[in-house]
Amino acid sequence: MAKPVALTMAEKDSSAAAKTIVVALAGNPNSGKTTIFNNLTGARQHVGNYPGVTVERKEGMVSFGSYQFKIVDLPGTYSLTAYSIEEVVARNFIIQERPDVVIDVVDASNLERNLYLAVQLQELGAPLLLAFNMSDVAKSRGLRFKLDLLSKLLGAPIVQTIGHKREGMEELLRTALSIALGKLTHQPVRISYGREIDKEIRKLEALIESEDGTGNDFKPRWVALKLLENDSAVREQVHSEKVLQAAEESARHLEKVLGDHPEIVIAERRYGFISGACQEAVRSTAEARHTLSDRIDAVVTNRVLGLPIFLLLVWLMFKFTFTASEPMVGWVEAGFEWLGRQVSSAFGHSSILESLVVNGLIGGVGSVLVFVPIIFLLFLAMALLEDSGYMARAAFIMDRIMHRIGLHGQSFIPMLLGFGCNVPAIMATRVIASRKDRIVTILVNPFMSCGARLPIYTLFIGAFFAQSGGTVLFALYFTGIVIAMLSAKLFRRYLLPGPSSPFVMELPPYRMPTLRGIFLHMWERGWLYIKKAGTVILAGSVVMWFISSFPSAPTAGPAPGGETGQSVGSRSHSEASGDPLSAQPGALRLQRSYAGTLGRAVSPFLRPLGFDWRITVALLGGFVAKEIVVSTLGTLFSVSETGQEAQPLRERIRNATWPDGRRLFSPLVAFSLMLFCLLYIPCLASIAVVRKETGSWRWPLFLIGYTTAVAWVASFVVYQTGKALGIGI
Amino acid sequence: MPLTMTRPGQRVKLLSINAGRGLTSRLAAMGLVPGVELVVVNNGFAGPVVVSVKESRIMLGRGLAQKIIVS
Repeated sequence: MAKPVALTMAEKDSSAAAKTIVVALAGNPNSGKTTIFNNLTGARQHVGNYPGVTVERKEGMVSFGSYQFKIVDLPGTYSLTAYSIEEVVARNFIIQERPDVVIDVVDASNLERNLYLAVQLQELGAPLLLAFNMSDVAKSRGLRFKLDLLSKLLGAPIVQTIGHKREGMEELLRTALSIALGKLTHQPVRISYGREIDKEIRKLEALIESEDGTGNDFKPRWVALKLLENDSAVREQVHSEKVLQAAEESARHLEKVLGDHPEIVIAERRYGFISGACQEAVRSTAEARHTLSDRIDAVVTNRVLGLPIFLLLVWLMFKFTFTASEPMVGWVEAGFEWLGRQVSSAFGHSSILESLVVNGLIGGVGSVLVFVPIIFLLFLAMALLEDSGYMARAAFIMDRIMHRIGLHGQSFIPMLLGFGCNVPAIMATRVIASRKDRIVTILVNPFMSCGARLPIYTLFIGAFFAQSGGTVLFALYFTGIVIAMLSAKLFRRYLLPGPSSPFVMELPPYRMPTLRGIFLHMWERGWLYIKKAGTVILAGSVVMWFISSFPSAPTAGPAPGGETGQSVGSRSHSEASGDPLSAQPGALRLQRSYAGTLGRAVSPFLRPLGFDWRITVALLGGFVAKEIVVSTLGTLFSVSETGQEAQPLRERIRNATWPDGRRLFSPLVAFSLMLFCLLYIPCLASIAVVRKETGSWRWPLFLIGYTTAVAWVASFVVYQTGKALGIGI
Repeated sequence: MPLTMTRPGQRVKLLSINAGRGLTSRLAAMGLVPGVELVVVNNGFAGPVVVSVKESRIMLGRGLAQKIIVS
């Protein structure tokens, strides 16, 4: 059973200096909580998950005087009911881990709605501190707060902050410290819910106290209130049948007397209490209703202009990404080549270890990291759209279209992120409340053409579609979107049928994003991509290296020390970037290796799509990460059949032939291959994240089968139709 | 009348929400409780309805807006 807050604090006084002070950061979505968290912790953040659920847990350390603060960012929520995992996680953290202080970040320009959570935090018995954020916006709207009075009415100290200007951070920490040390206590306020409800609460409270049904940290009054509010999670915690029965009776009785579900009346009364407090302590000097946000919305959510503006912004986003990333990709590429050479010479040539490090590790991971600039810049542009508040409008605009496929506008945001990297995009589906909608959104995400598929397109467009490159690229991206949409409709109808889930979402006011904010945002998502390169793809690269280097060991190649002993990977890598090196042994080795054998075994299945065994091997490599398709092709086509060796990969692919001398590639085969790469098996990292986010192997396994089937059918139709009609051969 | 029948700019009072109890609580947390005043910001023939409530703009899917009764 919890003790009154003030007492707990006094007990902690003596030991507080020695230990870390734990501060939980709560608040509504869009209250500026993240900005305050970033201000307080800087780059010293740790991102993880709450145990057992896919809710992100961010924490960071900050020292203040001689004290250490651990700041835990709770999920942004509107209330503390049991209706979403985030809310349960937030309140369980407060109940179980008992932070020394709970800072509720409140948007002062939208006070009444934001205080709804504050009141619930207080009822939970949290040592509450209110951060009146965006106090500058509130001021400009003509709001004046009598802080002392408001603080007394709400039963918690108040500090005014301006997150994006980093104002009020020190005072926030100082006040938090005073609370943690027990120097600042507030008498918690007890809200009256009206005679009838209060009576039932008291009755239940007494019963719970005598029965001790919960036997844990919950406050009896809070448990009583939650039971009346029909809170399923609290009901599960209560083991006393007597209490549960009494609660049910009380609820039934209240429903009869009040004419509505008790939780609705309780919510109304809570707002009543808040609005009473605000009437006394907040003065509004201006009746300015038409804000700048509304004026922008009148244009960008306009029925006619909305969609064109959205498409223009998406186009600008890609234009910016591709233009700005071009030189950077070259730098990273050069960097890895240099690293490969350094390692090669350090190890001495032709040892297995050297081959593993250079081909497997540097070659594999390097080919993935080369796309870091593209992915980071795309995420930067998206962070700008998100932090400014536009992304929510995009959800509004897309809702009508998404509705037709059985989803909501909200599902479109992860799809857009998928153009960068599917891993963070799949994690971004967490905001979707309905589980069915969420799974469908996850399952179609791999069809959004991620940055890793771009090098494949670049190679083949360069080789076969030099004239119409832009159109082909657009066609591929567009095909991905269309197939994602059709699949969503299919899944929603047959796989996860059910009525369309209700959709509600706040449109936050437009805000000028802070540079720091968008960079941190970009970094968080981009880091997931780097992490995937460092873990799943690293492991996959080693496996790929093994099956493509053995059974014929690298030592079986040319004599040690010679230039020709250079490794497969560094070669394949440099060839992928167009720098030719002599290569014969690598290709032969690959042909004889496990990978080659496997490729030849599988290749009959891919013959109807126009692919030979070499393409098949490259596609097998692409299961680890799609980027690997290009580096594997680089190795396999390292010997040009005309005998000319000093040719870029593009040339060599153009000249490649079947054993009977026919050309292997035509524009048709190239397109068929690009289409296949767009659609087939998501990379290992995506599969792993689908497993994690859906909580079972069922969905990732389904996804592997489905995507491969779709890819095969699509490429088959394209290739066979093209061949029959004589297009592109 | 249901919220979908309103015109943009119209000021209405929320009477009731014919949705499940969980959803009703969620809407309450966002400020949509019976008795509250709403201003309709955006409402077309199709697509979501946007309302202004207590200084925030809430977007409601068309199906959900149908279940919200206002006067």
